[in-house]
Amino acid sequence: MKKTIFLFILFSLTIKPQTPNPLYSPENVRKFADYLFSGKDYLRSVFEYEKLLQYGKNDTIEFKIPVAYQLMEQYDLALQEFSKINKESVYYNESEREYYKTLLLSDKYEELQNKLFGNEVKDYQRLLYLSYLFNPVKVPDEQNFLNIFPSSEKRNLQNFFDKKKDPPYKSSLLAGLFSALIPGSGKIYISEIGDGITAFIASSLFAFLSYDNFRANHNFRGWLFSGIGFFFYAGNIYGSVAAAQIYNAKVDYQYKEKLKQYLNDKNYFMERNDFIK
Amino acid sequence: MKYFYIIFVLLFFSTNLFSQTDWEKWGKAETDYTIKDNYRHRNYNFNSDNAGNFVVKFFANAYWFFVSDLDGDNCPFRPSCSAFFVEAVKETNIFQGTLMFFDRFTRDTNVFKEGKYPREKSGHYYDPSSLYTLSGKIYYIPVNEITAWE
Repeated sequence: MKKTIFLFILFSLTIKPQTPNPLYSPENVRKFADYLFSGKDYLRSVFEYEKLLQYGKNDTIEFKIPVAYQLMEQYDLALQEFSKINKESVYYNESEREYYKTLLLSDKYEELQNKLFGNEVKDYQRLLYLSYLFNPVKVPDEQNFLNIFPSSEKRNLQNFFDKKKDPPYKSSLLAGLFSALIPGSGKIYISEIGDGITAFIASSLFAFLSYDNFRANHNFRGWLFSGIGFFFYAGNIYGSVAAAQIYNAKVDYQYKEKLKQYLNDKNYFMERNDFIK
Repeated sequence: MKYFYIIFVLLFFSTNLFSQTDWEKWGKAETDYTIKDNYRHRNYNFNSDNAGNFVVKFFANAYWFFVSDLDGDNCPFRPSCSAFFVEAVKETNIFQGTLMFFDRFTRDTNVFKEGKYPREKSGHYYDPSSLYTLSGKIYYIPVNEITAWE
């Protein structure tokens, strides 16, 4: 009897196993995933959406997963997931559009241009022309470019187009030449006024020290200060050329950032997916 | 049969014998509260690809050992001017590296540096030698961005 009771108690746990937690029902997982998505916690929302796909195919979820990747700037994953969506899906057209937009976002301009060249759909033509604004080589015809966009946006786009066509770069050669003529002037040319004045003072100071020591027949000190002064002078010419390159890199960076911000605000001139909150 | 039950019960509850002790759970943690100072974790080795690099490294090591480490962390830049010089010579050559160093030294002397360079978490200005090699490939870092060089 004792043995029976003992065994009954011992194995009683297995008689009544844990029931499934209602929190993990597909409906609740979906609600949680949507909550995470709307809270911009895209990584965890993808994790929850993927759980739901185990219960069966769902067009909305299949579309939201790559959108989440795109919003996380995980562009390769987004492209991979967008390309999986087939023609039977309700969101096939949207996913194709988002696929091309992701190509633009991920700086794959040439691939985008190869795929969209000759496409008659207006959204795609706009994406194609926008990609030219980022591409370092090609510049499209101005009128063709502007005509494809709404007239209210032409002024902004004209600004971007002009900056793309004729960026406000500074010449490295001129910067170097200026600094060779007057130490520091190359830096002032590229708006580094403090550095320019410092370079002028350093070079002039060592030149004066050298001259003064030679005049006083202190030849060793004269040569020492000449040598140091020469390196300050030559270093400044070199630095002016380098600073011009950095300035131009800054111009490119700021242009791209402003353009990306502008296009993001306009959703790349594409229709917004209202169901995605 | 009696022994079987005893062995069974012993095996079943044996996990309790190896449970976590309070000592392990609540034991005093050995925490080091000193500020991590990477500045003095210098690379003093003399490994160099050529004679020029060796000479530069020799002078840099001597400067670090006899002057900089005693003087303290005074360079507002990262890498510091001496480390910049070593890097510059490694990336280019002794002549170009020297020009890069004198340019950096001039920029260091300029007191108006605020808002011109991105900063590190430590507050130092981030200004790597790779920006000045004239290679044409510049990875521009905006001024308002905080870098993680250390």
